[in-house]
Amino acid sequence: MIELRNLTVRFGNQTVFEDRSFELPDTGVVLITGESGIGKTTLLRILAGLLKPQKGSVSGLENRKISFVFQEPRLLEHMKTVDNVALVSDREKAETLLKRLNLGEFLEKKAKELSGGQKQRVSLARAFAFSDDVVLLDEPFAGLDEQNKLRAADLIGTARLAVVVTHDAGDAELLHADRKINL
Amino acid sequence: MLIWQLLSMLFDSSLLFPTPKETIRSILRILETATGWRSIGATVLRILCGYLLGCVCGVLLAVLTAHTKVFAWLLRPLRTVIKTTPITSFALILLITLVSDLVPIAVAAIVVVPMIWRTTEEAILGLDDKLAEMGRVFLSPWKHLRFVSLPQILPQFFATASTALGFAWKAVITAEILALPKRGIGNQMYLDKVYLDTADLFAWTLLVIICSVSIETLLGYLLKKAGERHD
Repeated sequence: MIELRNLTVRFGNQTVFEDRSFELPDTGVVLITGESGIGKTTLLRILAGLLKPQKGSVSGLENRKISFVFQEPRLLEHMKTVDNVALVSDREKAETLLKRLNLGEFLEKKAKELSGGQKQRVSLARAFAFSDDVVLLDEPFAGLDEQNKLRAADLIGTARLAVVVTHDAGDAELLHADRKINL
Repeated sequence: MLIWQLLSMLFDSSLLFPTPKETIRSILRILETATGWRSIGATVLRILCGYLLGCVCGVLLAVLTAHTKVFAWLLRPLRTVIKTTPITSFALILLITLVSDLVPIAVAAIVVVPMIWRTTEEAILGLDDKLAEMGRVFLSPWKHLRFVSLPQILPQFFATASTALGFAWKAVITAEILALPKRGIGNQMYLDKVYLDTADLFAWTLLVIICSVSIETLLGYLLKKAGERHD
């Protein structure tokens, strides 16, 4: 069990969490929903170790390899699509994942030449190339058409633990979540 | 060239303003002598040493002040002092403590440091936070530097590095005229001034321009190649 205990997070005068606790299972797909600005992304960043809460602790993630799909693709624009993914694993794995996400014909294109939806899929491929142990996903379906959403959902389902933030009820249904947390 | 010829005709005195022909003849004479080549070699070597030293120190200081507030607070005033103090003051002060051969190198480094320091510091502070966060999740520190940070820093660094080389040339020649080391273009220019050999003075000035442009072009080419490796 992954436990986030007594979290307090403030950004200046704005309090995002005040003494809040959460529990997540070790495996499966966990959906995190809630209004904009309620702290969904903050929760993911705490889980990834990118944000240290002012108070509180996180346990259960020791020795686990954490990957992240950010809200924006955050690719290295000057590099080829395949190299963006191979940078975190190896070329063979990168190609397999990109092809799985219908990006086979864009392997050698530079990231800056891709559309928003294509970049989002590259970002998804990169996350899974790095690790499928714990994958944190922040609005992973943004900019994807229905076919690609299905491909993405299929890939997300292969993670040992996927924690998915989404505000779209339709997208949430695609994931067949094992657990839902409404913030 | 035409304006130069007209001006020399107007002055009508090779002592005051030599003709292009006289100047080119002087250049050829300089290039025929070992002293001429040794002087050019000594100056170029000093420029390269001072320039590289300045670049290394500038980058180290930038890393220090960009990442540590205390160092930024302590060292930034030093940058302002270095930037605003005239080259001649540095050369004369350094002459008291250093041997004259080293003064031009030190002066070149002093001129280059604040330029490289400021640009690199600004580039580090301007790094994309979101890409940095991505790097923290996925990349080792070395890969982070190589693929995330350097491609953002290098374009700015290269642009300033190229400008700084031109300043290093001016600084070294000025310091050589003041410090009079064993050999150097500055020495030769000083002697030409003393002996009122204006044609040689013009010749050395032209040689400085030729060497400076050649080295800057070569550096520009190398930096461009290095930049392409990061593209």
